[in-house]
Amino acid sequence: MVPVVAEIALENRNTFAVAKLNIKDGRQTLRKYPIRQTPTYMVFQDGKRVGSFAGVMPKAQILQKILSVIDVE
Amino acid sequence: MKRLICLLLILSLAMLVLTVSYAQDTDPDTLWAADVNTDGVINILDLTLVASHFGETPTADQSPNPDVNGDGSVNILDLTLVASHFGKTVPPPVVFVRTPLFLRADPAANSQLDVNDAITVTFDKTPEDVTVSTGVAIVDDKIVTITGPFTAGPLALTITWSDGTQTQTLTYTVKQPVAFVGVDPTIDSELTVNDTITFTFDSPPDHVTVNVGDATIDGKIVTIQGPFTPGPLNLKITWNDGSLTFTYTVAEPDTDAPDITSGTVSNGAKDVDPKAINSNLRIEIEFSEAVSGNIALQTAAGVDIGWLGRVEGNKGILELVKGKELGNEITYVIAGKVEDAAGNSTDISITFTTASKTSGIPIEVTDATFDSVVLGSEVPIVLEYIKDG
Repeated sequence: MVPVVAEIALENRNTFAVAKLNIKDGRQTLRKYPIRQTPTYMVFQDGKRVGSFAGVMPKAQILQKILSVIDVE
Repeated sequence: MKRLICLLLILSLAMLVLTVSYAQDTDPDTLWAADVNTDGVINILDLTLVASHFGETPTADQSPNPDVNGDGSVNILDLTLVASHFGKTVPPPVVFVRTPLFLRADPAANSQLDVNDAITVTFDKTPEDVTVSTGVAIVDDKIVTITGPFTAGPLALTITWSDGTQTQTLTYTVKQPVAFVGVDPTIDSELTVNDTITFTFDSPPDHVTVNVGDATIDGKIVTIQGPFTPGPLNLKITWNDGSLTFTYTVAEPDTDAPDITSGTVSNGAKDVDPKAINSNLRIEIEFSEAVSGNIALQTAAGVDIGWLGRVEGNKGILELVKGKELGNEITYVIAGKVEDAAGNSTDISITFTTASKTSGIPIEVTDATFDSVVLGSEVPIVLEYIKDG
């Protein structure tokens, strides 16, 4: 079964990209962009964080939250 | 004995008529007939000639002719005629010779001539001692041909004949010679079989002929249209004032259609970066030779997307129009048709598909790559924090 985030990345490849950070490899990043739980999603555009959300949720809800914060051309 | 009798007869007749001879009419025809030996004097020699042919019937063209009165026989009447004019001097015959008359000239007087034209003058009979003030005269029976070259400008041509007693002056205008100015293509260049050669003169030429093809004259321009035979070409053009020969090489006919040799995109290309093309503002195609024609950028459905297409030399160029940038994951077709100078054509159909904005596969990042991958991303990026092990 393909993970939900991988599906979202493939289906929206012309809109945004998806990256994964394992917290054990991102201690410096965590200090700069701390989280309280996993999974947590942070949305960046033009080098700036434009939104974030956390928790397990359906695919459509994840997509809706992402699209609500990015500026699509 | 007969001769002696004749002589005595002559002498007695001469003596008999001497006294009346001066009273006779002396019309010239009679005097000329009585001067049988045509020595200019009627004397004993003439009487002797008549006497020696006495009784004969001479022919009309006999010379000398002792039949003085022309009655067909030599008799006493002839002796009497000679005796009656004995001692007279006979005037020389007057021969009337009419001089040849000028009839016409071709070209007619007061017309225009070319420098190398010939003038033909016709007389009613063959003229003698013909001289001309300009050119060279050749007499052939009643025709006198006067050849140049003549000097451009007014021409007064005087013809004199019959030992200078007769003259005729003909006036003409001799046209300025037509001069060659240029030719296109230039001499020694390579032609194709169906090329056109264009000659330019400083004024309209007359009597143009060429040894190859047909000449078309339009004012000062003479056009020679192929087809020419492949190989060396020696083209000679002759006009009323000169001739020139030009050498060319005629190439074998071009039957090869133009090929697409390279380009910004190739047919069937996938994942073409639209951003690179958009930033370059154009798509180019290179052909194997110079062509003319048209190209356009279309969608797969054949809809023109509005880029400006043109064909120049051996290139086809599509220029981006603002707002018509290439998108991601779209199939485009460069369509059109080009033709080389020989008329060989090629249909253009280059299909390519642009890449998606991202790979569609989540990228794993670390502290070391975070800045470049996440903060440096050109597209929005969603970072998922995961706890794995």
